[in-house]
Amino acid sequence: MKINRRHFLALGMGATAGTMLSPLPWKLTDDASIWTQNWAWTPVPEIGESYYAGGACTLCPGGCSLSVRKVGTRVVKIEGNEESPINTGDLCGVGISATQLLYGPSRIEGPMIRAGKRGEGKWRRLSWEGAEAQLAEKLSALSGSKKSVVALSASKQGSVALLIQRLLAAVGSDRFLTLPSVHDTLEAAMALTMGREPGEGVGFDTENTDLILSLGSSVAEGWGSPVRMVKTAAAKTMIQVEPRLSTTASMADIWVPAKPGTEGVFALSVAAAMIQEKLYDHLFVATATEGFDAFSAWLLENYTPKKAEAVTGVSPALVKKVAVAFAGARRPVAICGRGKGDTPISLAEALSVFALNALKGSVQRDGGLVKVGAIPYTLAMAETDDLGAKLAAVTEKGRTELLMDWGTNPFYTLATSQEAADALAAIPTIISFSPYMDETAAMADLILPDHTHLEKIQDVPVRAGLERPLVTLAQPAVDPVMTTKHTGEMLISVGKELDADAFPWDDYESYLEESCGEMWEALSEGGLWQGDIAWKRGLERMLGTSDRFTFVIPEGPVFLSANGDASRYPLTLVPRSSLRISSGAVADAPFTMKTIEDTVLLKGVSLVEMNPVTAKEAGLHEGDTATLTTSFGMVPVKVTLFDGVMPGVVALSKGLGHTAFDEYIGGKGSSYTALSGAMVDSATGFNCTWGARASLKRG
Amino acid sequence: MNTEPKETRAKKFGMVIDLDKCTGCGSCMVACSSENNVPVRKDESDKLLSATWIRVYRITNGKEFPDTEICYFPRPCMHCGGKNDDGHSPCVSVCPATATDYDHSTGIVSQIYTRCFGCRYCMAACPYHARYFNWWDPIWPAKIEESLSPDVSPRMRGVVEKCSFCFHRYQKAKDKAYIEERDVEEMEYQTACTQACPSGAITFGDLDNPDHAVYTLKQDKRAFRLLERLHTNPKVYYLSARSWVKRAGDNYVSSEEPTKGPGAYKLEGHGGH
Amino acid sequence: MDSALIPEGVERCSFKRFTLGMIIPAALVIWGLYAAYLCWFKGLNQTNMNDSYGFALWIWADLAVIAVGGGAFFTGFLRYVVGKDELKNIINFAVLVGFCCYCSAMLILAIDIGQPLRGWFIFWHANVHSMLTEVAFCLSLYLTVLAIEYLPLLLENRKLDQVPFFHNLGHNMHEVMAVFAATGAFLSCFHQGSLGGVTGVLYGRPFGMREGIFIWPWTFFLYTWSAAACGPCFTMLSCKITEMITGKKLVKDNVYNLLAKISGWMLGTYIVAKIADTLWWAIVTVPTTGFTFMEFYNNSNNFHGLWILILEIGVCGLLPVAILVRKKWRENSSLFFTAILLAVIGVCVNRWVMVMQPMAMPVMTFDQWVLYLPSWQEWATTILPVAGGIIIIALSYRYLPVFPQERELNPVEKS
Repeated sequence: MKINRRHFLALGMGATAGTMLSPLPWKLTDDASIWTQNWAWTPVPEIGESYYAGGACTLCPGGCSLSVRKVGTRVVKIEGNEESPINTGDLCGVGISATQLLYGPSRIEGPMIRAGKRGEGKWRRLSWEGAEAQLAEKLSALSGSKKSVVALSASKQGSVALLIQRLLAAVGSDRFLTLPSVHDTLEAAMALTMGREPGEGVGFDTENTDLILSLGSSVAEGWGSPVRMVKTAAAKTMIQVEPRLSTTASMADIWVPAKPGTEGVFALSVAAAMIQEKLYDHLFVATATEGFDAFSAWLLENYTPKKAEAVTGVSPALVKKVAVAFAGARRPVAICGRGKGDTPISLAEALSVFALNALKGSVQRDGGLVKVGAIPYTLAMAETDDLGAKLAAVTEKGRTELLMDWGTNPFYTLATSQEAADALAAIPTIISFSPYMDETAAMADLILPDHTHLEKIQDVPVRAGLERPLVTLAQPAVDPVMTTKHTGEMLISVGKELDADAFPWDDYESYLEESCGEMWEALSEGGLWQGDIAWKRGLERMLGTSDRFTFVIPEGPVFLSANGDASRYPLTLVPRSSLRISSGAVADAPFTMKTIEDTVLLKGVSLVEMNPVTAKEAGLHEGDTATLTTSFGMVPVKVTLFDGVMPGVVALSKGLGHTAFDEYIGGKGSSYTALSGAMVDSATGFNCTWGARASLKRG
Repeated sequence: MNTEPKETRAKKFGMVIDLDKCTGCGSCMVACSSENNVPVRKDESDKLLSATWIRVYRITNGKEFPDTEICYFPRPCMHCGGKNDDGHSPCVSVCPATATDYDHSTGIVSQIYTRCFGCRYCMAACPYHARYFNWWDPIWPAKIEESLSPDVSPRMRGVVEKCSFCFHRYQKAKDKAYIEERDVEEMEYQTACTQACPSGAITFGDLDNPDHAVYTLKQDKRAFRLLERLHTNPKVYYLSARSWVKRAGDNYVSSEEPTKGPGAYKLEGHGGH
Repeated sequence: MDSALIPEGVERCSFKRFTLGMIIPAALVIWGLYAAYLCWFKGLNQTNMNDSYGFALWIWADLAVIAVGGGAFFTGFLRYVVGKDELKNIINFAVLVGFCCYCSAMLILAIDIGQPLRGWFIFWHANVHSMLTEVAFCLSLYLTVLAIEYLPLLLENRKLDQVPFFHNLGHNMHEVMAVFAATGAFLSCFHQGSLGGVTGVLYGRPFGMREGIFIWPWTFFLYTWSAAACGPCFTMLSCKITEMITGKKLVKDNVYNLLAKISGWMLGTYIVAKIADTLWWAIVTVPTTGFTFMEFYNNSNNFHGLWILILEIGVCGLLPVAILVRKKWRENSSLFFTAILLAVIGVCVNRWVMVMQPMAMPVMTFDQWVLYLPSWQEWATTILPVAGGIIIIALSYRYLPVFPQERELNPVEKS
């Protein structure tokens, strides 16, 4: 038989028909779909024993305790610890998303030394011995004054803070610094009005209060201990004073839109109204205070509601309404510290708030402003005197030869202007202990990365305006993910090289136990230690046997005005706080990035909120691209209109615009801090900036 | 009256969210994402492409300064019962491959990722935008894959996902209760968002069980549901004493007064499923 | 070089010229296939669709090609079931155009779904309540019917016809074609209707939802009716374009005339029903959802406003009806062309509105009107089947006796 083309055709067709009738195509179709259900690149999480480990969050000062859910050796979820008196099983988004910081691309793999130009991102890995030797060498080889060494510490007290201080002492420096907060001013005010022993703090017993008069504090958005304050905001009567309708303001029973930065003046006007209307607590003032007459005369001369109106823009009628509400409440408290309280206020403003509380008798009692006892560490730390000036010196050129950073990320948090950023960048030697590639680590010469809070044991003293002293314990929920080392351990090791006597401990854990002393039992068993309340109750208080309160007439200005030429900068820039944005040293993890509204951040650009009236005057519309400029810097933004912003004011979210970290959390929007500049309080030397004069131009 | 014993009676899980308590902190969104392995991307700021099973909207009363007010509106999947509450949810009734289904024993609208073939008809059907499509392959950078929970399978690209009322938590609780020969207790089964909410704005439980907190709360005079008038029969109730917030829960022709509570709109007309 | 394949008694351009003419459509096909490859291998992130716009250009394209492809079933219905014999002169072409349209729909659907390899789950795990399930079943069955209807034409190719088996097969199939035509008409009524139901049943989307009867929303019937009205218009439009390109008259005027008259009346009744539906929806249905009719049109992001409705019902509805129904006007060739073009545009606009607007329209009071612009990948994959259709029609015209009247109208002088 001759085989021709037709046979081939027939064969082909036959084969096709045969295949179609066989189970093969059906099997293949089925297999193809099964393949799509099991794509190798879609991860299948490993199963394993599921259990919880304890821990403490260090991403903000709030002091939340954690229940870390594990599967096998992995951390899969962070939840709030139900036993915690602070967060009672709840947790904020930043805290929950720390799993992604733990395992995320911003982690530093191990000790590294700079290999390229500064900030270029070229590194050479070191062994831990090598890295510690480098640190010891750099510290001992300082050429200039020993005082040119600075260390920034994430916490003011605690075991690691002490080690940092001792290391500084070993090289002869007393520049142990922490990021300033409203508590630094509050403690100074307490020293003047109520007396203060080292280690004592200021608290607000918001649990027992029935009315909160918040002078710009973001009660619902991260002030104090955020999770606890959110509960408070949802439950208590509130009066909120601030120029922008924040969540707190909207949840408040009365919103007082005072002009930016004038909250302290408003507090004084309320105090004056209370005196004018005789609404203050006569018994308390008579029995437990001093200096009332002089103070009240000064107040009535300078801060009557009518006079204050010129500064605050708040009508005397509204001041009176607030005074009546505050005086009429059973246990009201006035709190202060704008936003999350992470910027100090002027001493004069703090004194005003203290006085307002004292007029109502709301000091040293349930629901009031209270003294918080010192945490009983067995190894005492010296408090840094002149913190304000020393902090200012960090961002002055030529004042620092070597900077060490433990979790404060000064290149983000202290870089309040281009000048400040330049001064930081000019520091000859920068050493970071950060576990994450933050802005400071990115500019460092040497990195000795710490464990994250999920990988280490460490005491976490809480300084968040709680009514009593409290320490939580970070615990290793997981073996270190990277080649990191506990900074405490590292400091002991390096410290021994420099001054063996000051670092007599074998390892960090034995040191920690010694340092915690009487607290150790509670800490090691329950992960939390809390002290007693420090105020006297009942009769003792009424009889005046308790500490007396002194009304102090502030010397410096209560209201710090914004710098800048009003014609060049017609607007006032204020920050916007949100619990969805961690505005501290560490950027939001990817999960938290998800929660940021598109009126805050859109396609990598920050949005600036402005009143439609202001926008109309400036010829700007929703969604317009614009440049926001202050005397300290300029950033590209988009415009979003919001009726809740006071006309003439523009609001930019704080905590965005990280330039380091990774592509998931860095490079998102612009940093408010970089535009905020400085407003120095002459009394304390702290930068109390609450905003800046600004201009907003299209394009 | 339902005389069936409590142990075997069909549940109707639902949620009550107190909008007057919600501070918009976003904790629920993060807790949910972490609990359910929701994928992340480098840019999450385009909300039309960012998956958040529960999304917290911010609304304003539209008044000028200083009379402005805001309110946060957390929006999980509503687990709609559909017209007449018979399980024909807007999405379930349209899914051509039965990849999303209404579980009559729990009232939960499920999503079977391995069956979904990505036609997105359910997304078109859902007026709440509660459904999210996996436009990309899920990629967890660095070692973040380590943080994935084995309780919820990560989704491949090309399928739709949404809030499940943390159904895996119910399964776990049910397994435990079964061994101990008892019913699942109210607090044993709580969603991740409820658990994380700092202000206590979210309450979760069996809407039909008088012992559960949601049973009482849903009858509160402040209670309303989102888009009540469409007869989707959501199982998420909202509470607010503010009339403008209540009004924002539904569309009203200008002259209408939004005085009606949940279930008050009579279903009329035919058409559709 | 391909003269052996060309039907007897007709004239075709040179193979070279034909090939040159195919370059642009072929290039579009390649472009479209590349875009399809991107969508399949990289996923639907290649599109500009998003979580609010899950249904977009492709779904519109599906609905539109199926609507205009309705010419096949309705012409078949008129020819075989009603018995309008003149239509035998255009039925081949109607089937061909319909076949191209339905292939296009299938192709676009295969790109549109996120998991194409699981597409068959629609049959395997079918949910009888879903309009899409109904669409999928009827659509695939009807595509098979169209293939069967197209096959005899294919077998009439000169070379294939030489094979006795094919010759007999083709002949016998012609005999039973009425059965297939009737089946096709039945299937089409359902899937055209189900496509109408797709948005009609969305009771969570007030813009799309419609009341109706039993399980069928009114759009179910409107879609079938409009496809029957406008499908033949598209067949005629394609036919006219083919005549323009080939420079030959291929179908006699009486055929056009008849089909145009029927289409005119169909379109007329459809528009009346559509107006009634719109009024009922606007006055009765919409207010129960808390919306007002104008809210759907006066959003600032809805840049076309009410004009799109005027375009659909007035310009592309009443106007072509007037032309097609009036004998004198439809016999005027430019008016006739305008009318069928407008009718086709009208049905496409209708499908566009019914797909796009329910997606864009916010339902929750705090939701936003969403704008969407398709990505080039979406455009390319949408143009792909159009270009492919042109190639299929061109090839069919060249090698198959598509037009029975061609020889009579264009006698070839024997050289």
